[in-house]
Amino acid sequence: MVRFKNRWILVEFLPLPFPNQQSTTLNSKQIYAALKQSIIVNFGDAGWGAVGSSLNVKYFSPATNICIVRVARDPHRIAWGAVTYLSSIEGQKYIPNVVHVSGTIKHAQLAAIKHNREVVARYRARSNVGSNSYEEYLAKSTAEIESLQD
Amino acid sequence: MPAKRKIQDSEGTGGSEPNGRKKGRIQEARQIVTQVHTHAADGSSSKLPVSLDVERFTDARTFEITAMQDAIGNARAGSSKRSWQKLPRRLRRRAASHDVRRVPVYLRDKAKTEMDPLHKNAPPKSKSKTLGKKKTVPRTEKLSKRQRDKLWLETHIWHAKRMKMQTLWGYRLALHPTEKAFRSSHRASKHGCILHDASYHEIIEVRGPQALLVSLVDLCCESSTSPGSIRYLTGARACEALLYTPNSYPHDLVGPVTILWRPTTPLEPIDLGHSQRTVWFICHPSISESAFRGLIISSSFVVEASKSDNKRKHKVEVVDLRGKYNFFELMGPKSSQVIRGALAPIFDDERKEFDRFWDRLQHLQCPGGLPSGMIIGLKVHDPRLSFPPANTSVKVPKVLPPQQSVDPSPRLACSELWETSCAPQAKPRFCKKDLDERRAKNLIPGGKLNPLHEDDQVPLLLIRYSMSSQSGLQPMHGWKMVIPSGWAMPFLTSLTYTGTLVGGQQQRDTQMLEAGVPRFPHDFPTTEPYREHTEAWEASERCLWERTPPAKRVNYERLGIDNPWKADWGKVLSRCTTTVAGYAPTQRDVTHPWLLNKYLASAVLDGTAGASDPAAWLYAKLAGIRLAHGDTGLSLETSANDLWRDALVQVQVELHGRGTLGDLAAIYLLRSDELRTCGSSLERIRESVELEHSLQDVMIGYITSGAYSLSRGRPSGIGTVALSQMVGVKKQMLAISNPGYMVKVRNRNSNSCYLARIQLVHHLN
Repeated sequence: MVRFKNRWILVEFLPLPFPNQQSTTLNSKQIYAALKQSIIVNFGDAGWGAVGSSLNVKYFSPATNICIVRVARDPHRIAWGAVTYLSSIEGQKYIPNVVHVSGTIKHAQLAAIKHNREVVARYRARSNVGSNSYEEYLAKSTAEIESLQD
Repeated sequence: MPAKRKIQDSEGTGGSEPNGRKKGRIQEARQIVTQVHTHAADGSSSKLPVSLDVERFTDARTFEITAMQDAIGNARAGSSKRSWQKLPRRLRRRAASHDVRRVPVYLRDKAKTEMDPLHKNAPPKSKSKTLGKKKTVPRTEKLSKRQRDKLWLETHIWHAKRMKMQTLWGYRLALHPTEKAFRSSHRASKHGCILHDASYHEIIEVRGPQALLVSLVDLCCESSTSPGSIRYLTGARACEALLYTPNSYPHDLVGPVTILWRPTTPLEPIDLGHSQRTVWFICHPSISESAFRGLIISSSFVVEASKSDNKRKHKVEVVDLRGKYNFFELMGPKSSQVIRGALAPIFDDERKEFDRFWDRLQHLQCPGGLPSGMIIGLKVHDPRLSFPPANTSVKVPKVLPPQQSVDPSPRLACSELWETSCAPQAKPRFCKKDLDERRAKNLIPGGKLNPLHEDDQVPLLLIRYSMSSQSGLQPMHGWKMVIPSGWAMPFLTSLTYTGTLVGGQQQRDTQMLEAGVPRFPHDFPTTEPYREHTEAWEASERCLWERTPPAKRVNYERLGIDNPWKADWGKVLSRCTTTVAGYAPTQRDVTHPWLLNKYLASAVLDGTAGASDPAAWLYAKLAGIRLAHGDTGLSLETSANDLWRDALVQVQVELHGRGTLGDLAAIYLLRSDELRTCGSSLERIRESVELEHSLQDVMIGYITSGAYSLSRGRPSGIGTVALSQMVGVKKQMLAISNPGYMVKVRNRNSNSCYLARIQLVHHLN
């Protein structure tokens, strides 16, 4: 029995915000369109013909900019390359960061979880905010509310 | 609210599925939930991008992590498991595959997605003619049509949904659960709790002056101590006895009964012979008619006997209380905790013994801690008010409280249940709908209902019940609950809620087999129900055998068995030799077999084994017993030799080594050469000794019920042997100085015999 094997690419789109630019929320359809353009430009019609039937944006979160793309196994390097060459979506500049490539969606999800945890940990360690940020914020806001009541 | 992503169907994706349903299911399960920006619409909040706002950043990441984890879990379950596979087997329903309502509420959404989409191209079904309200047959009428030739118990529908049913003794009874239940019910009876609805047992009430009742009970019943003795007379204990037809002891055994005396109030002293008393005889449905007739005959006999003494006219009433009471048998160590958790008793200031008993029930690790036969009368609130119940846990106190012993006493056994025998059957006042409406009005949802003045107070009796015999080392202890009619379903739902298993006839039979107790009627060969049962069984087995082609069935002719489906007691009994000089052993055609009951068995065996003339010894003993019962002496027609020769006794059998105990396996005496090989080193025999059957073998009895015993780890069962042959076995064993009794057992389908150990089923005081 012939099995159809896929590759699941976990990408994080890091935005490069310009000072006078509004952050527009992205859509999975927009990412698909941008990917398609990138493949046609960089790999030509032959490249799109190889990848196009199996390309699918399975998940995208506008909050965290994490995207999971599914491609067939044979031409997955074409799609991977296209993702790397992608520099802007809908006019806004992004840096694509391919975090993980796997054969099942489950491992892509696990990799996403791992990546998120690392990012948060790195952020917290660098910002020296530590675990006090919430408590400080809460204390500040309760003080403001109490002063209002009086 | 987080929005779900729409599934994007990619064009011509690989992996063709046979039906779109599974693909849809998998895709549904594989959805990953995403967080939607709520602040995107209004620009008033901070203009910083998401990644620089600390809380929102961590919030978004946390959300994504949880969403991914959920997706992983759901994906695994969504493609491989259906929604109803998350339910335990007992809650699954066949209709769940096409009807969403058959699945609990929390699973309905999932079930809906898994269901087959309606066939659009199927031809439309013709609308069936639904009867109008005038023409519809009401449900009670529909159900009562099925009960014309048999009686349904109150819990019938509950049992019919879960058990395989059969018509036995005029009732529709549960045989066994439809699920696999052999080992789980055995475990429940040994370590947990198992319930059996025994409401098919019938009560016969006898009312009259105490002296007459005592003589009546002595006349027709036999027990370890006289059922009219002070031990049972106060009503504190239940007496397990055997009922005989009057004037024909020891022949014509009717069957086992349980005798309950109505407890005396403290004001009435026991000694007064003329005080009006009530006795209940609880008997098996197969003997209820003959028991009723026998009691009427005995009562007339007793009244006649008393007329000659004094001039006052005495009256003894015999009433059939069929259908007025329900019985539940709860067996197992946890049954005390189940009872304590499910029942909410009404405490009385005057009955301090009951408070102590109720407290003791909580610390009882096994019902065997209380004396067998002890009766407790109580009154409880409607069990549906405090539904759902919770089992109490056994609390063994670190410091044992001062000995506040709970003894059987007539005050503890007092109950209003006795008064309901005259009253018409009272149904529960409130139906489930009324109680549910009341529960809906509760301020706190899920709370229990407080008992109101209008609520029912149900009187009931608890009897400490045991299946035990001297020979079986694995007694089963439990409780028997007697509740008025109409209340079986509320109590059943409360008792089974906490995980108590419910068993049918097969479970009860297994319990008796494990305990080594003969079951009625299968193990009582001389009784009428045994004859009916074996005739029916013979007919069905013979029919089955005749249908089978000769190459595939057992060749009984070759094995030398005349009638493989019926026990030939005549053959068993005519083999014994008489010991009276001058009488040659003859094969008589007419035998009148009688069963020596377990209360006499060991004494009679010892006596006849030691006596030089066992027939005479037995005759004297039986005559003495008859006179003690208040009966006439043995008639001159019955000769001592006949009595001695026709005596049968029940034994408990255990195979020594390998082998199985099948139905109607024959029991043989060990031959002298076999004795030499086996007898010398019985303890050292590990493997089975190969024994063969020969025509000279003396058959001494049959196995009436045999199976593999889980608690013993070897096949065991109950059989019946001739008393005279039992004496022979005893003498054999004494000769080789072996303490036990060894015989050999041969199944119907082979010539090889297995070594077995037998023990009398006897009851010591």
